[in-house]
Amino acid sequence: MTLDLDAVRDCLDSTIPCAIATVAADGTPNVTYVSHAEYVDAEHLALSFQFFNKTRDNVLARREALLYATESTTGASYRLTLDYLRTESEGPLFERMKARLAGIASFTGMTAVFRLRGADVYRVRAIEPVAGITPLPKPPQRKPLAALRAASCAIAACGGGFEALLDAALDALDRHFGIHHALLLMLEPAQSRLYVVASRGYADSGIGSEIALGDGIIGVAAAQNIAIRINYATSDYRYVRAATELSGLAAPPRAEIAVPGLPDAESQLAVPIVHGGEVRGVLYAESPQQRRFGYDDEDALSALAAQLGLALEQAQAAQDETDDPRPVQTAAAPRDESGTPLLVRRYAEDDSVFLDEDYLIKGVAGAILWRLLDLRQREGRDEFSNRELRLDPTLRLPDVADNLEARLVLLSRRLAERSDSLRIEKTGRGRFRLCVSRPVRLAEIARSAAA
Amino acid sequence: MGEHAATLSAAQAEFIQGPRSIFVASRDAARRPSLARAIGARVTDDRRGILLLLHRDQAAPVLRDVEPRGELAVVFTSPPTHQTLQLKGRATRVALPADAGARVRAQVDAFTEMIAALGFGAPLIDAMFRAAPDALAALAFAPAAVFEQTPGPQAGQRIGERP
Repeated sequence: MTLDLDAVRDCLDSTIPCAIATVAADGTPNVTYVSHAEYVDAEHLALSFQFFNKTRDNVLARREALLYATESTTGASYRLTLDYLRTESEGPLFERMKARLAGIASFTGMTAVFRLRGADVYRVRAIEPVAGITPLPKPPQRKPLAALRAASCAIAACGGGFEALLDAALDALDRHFGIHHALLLMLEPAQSRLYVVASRGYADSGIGSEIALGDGIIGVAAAQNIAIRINYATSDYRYVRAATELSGLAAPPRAEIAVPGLPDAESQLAVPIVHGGEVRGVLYAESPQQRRFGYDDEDALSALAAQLGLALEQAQAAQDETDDPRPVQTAAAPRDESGTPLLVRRYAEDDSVFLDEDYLIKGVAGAILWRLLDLRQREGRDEFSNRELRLDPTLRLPDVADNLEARLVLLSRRLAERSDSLRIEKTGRGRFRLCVSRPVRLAEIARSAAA
Repeated sequence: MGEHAATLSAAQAEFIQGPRSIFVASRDAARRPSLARAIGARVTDDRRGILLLLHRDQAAPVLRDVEPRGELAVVFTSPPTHQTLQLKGRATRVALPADAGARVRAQVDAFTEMIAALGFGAPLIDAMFRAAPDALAALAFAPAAVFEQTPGPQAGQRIGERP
């Protein structure tokens, strides 16, 4: 049987560095180590290009190289005959390798030295096992394909709608993959930001926290539509909060939720959730263990994310299928609430909403809550439909593909975490009730004129 | 590359004989590279030559290519520090020294001890390196040029020569 790269890709995890041999135009052989070799597909790999050196001269001149790769658990080793194709200095493969290399550099104390200039892409012409090595038996391993099957069945069996799907996915990661720390984020395309809608394994859920597109491993995975896996802790891809630079009278105070994360994360895996060719979100997992996620885990989570993208899209569409945009209010909203009024402030600057002194949420979810409270005050009702929100001119939601359901989940979960007096309750497909147990006073803070 | 033999410094000789990861490369008549691990290295007393010990089957392609032309490149690295030297020169197949088996055992033991701190166990190192004396081969290598290969912008610079 001819080996393809899929069969030996575990050798490319840079645990044991690969060596590369090339030959100069005058016939002189050259040998050195490769910082990182990256699996691209069954026929291609990429080598990190960091320094201008003899290897690079030889590769550009003769376009041929021989790679020696060793699998770190068994010692099985292979010689890979490579034909140089091209160098990519930007784009998905480059960004993916850059993140991988940052982890390797940090682990090996080479952070100041390693800088990725390019991803040198090679076609793998031949793979030959090195004779004279008796590989150790593979240690018993988790079976990502079996875990994927169980997780996939759990998602397929989930009939509870958008929010239940989020929970089913994170439950499945926990139960079937042994992944105990995970985030689900949805993309807000208009603002180029991702926001956390569900999480597992953190003291603070971080629901509503945001990551800019292109920022850190999650932001890069979404921006480039590519899975990124890091095997060793690296500060380059952590979510370090920069000081908020908002200023001015109308600037909302501390409208930030911290992104949850393990302080000692070694392994990180971010997989884009894609539907219809568009990135809709990111599934993110992390672990304090080094090299926790392998190529097979990346494959499994990518397949799971594809299924989840489709399932979430269908759940979203189902919520919009209500017959009447304005639900009939069976009775006037009960107004038996008493006690100190709850002050709800909305900053027009970014639609951030504060309950008394506490930040709740911003963006579209903030605008929705504000609109619901406003309608409740004006019209004396507390039942609403997804459809009327979608048609509401003050919210300016696009007709389709706007993640409305994700925003309602986000709002509902933030309220459940942060408020005793406001709550969102599902009343049917595409319908819900805003439950209010205290008098509410609304205060709008206009946009800063100085801005 | 100059064909004069290089004399290694005492520090280079010491580095080369320590517990190192070693690769050797040669090439065939069509200038296609060959590549293998070496297991151990011993610098000659005059520091102008290195006796390399290799696993005969693992290194078969390199041994085959060295035979007619003698061209060889060797890279030595210390995994914990990344200090790396590449030597280029000529090699010839020679008879195994009488103590080859003992030397390989000592080299593999030292390497195993050093690499354990990086999380690699003895069974793995044994699978990759351990070889019975009758499975070994030896190359007498005369380096002509020494290159600094520690990762960084200086990597690839020739040592001991003015530009």
